Amino acid sequence: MKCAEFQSQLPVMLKQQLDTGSLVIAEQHLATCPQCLLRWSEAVEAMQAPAQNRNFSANVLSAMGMDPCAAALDALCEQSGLENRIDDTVALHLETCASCAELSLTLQQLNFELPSLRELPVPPGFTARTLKALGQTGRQQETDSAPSTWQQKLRGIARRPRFAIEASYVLSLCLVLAVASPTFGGNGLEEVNDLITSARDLGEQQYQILKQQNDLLMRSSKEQWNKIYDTTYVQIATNTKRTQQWFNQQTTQLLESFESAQQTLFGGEEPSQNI
Amino acid sequence: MLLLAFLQPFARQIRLILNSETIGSLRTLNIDIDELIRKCREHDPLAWEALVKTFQGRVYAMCYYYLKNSHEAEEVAQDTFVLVYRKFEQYVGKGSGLAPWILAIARNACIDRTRYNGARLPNYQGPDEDSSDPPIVDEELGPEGQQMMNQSQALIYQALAHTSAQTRELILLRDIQGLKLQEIAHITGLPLGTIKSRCNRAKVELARIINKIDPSYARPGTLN
Repeated sequence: MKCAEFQSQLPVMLKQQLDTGSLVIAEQHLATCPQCLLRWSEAVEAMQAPAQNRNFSANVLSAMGMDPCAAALDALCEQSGLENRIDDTVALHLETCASCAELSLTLQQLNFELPSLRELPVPPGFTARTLKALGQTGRQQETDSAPSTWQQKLRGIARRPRFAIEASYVLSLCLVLAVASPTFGGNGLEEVNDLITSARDLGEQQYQILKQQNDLLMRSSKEQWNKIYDTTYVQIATNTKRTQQWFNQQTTQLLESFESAQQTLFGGEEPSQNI
Repeated sequence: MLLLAFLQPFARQIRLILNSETIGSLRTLNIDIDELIRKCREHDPLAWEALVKTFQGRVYAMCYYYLKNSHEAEEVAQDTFVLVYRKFEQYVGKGSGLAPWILAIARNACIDRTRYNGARLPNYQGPDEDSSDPPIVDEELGPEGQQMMNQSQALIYQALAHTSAQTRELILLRDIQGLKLQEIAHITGLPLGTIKSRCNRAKVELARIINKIDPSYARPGTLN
């Protein structure tokens, strides 16, 4: 058996799917060829290594707070449709992570297929209808931009949203001018001056009347107040005086009755302290 | 014969590569997009026809994936081109930025239509009942290839239906339409880092769902 033949049979042998006769020949070749033996041992080691190291690496990265799956998926997502080269570190992760490997295949397939959905066949006649619509729009734009007659300009002005407000301003101004200007049959500003003068005189008269009334009211209120004050003061003083006289009378009567009671009881002598 | 026998197991991948990238770019290789933009600015009808034909497939696909209704997708795709025509003076970018610009307009039009549909009367029919089977007919494939392609695409559509709206949108913009992350961030208004991480997560989510539905998906020629 030659080395090339052995190397072609190596993957089948590793999967233990080689028939007995070929296996015996391969073993005989391994016994005589150190190079092939070395390759075989490396292949077996590589096949077994991921299974041994999977939990260890996952535990270490978990303890370090890292998520290699997310990073690998991010790297896979950033590939474009035609670029299918995978970074070595991502490839190493995919060898040991079955779920990421499965997602990787799907993502690569999506990278191919999603751009193929970029266009959809348009319905028949779509282009013609669109161009027709564009033509109508173009004609309308040309019509809009063409120079217009004075009637169209007036119509355009009348369509403005603030037209009613602006028109009322203009009409008010015209009315004032018509009243004020002698050209339009009015007496002009003289009438306005007369009006203002008469209004000022009237205002002054009203002011004087109001001032007199105010003075009168102030005077009368003061008099009333003084009158009320005097009356109240006299009444209070009278009442106080009367009350004082009544109190004096009561006090005198009480003293007299006390003295008479003393004379009656003790005959004019002072009452003894021993009693 | 030997070469054919050797290539036969990889026929699907070869077909996908050629269909997605090479042929797609060959179709537009003859057209200089910058020159096309210049002519479109001059309202050249042939340039507008070329522009519509160049982008109609992508715009229609975008609208169909958003609205799940072929009639509405057609309407919104047409409206998108009308909007592109009206706003074309506002486009100041280069040729490479035209496709993202048009797709952004299509996306906004689809979102507007979805909102409009949501505010419509309750008798609105909604998406097609058979929306899981997209109307894809590629006559360049043989019958077996067509069947395999349809199975594969139907599986992707089925998986996409199980994902969230955000995941679907990111896969649509990033992986299907091939927009750059900066362009997606500009369209969606999200930060670049957020878009990057969400795009990766979206694709992994899709892959997981596909593996659940059909574990044999990633093995060529063994689709169930």
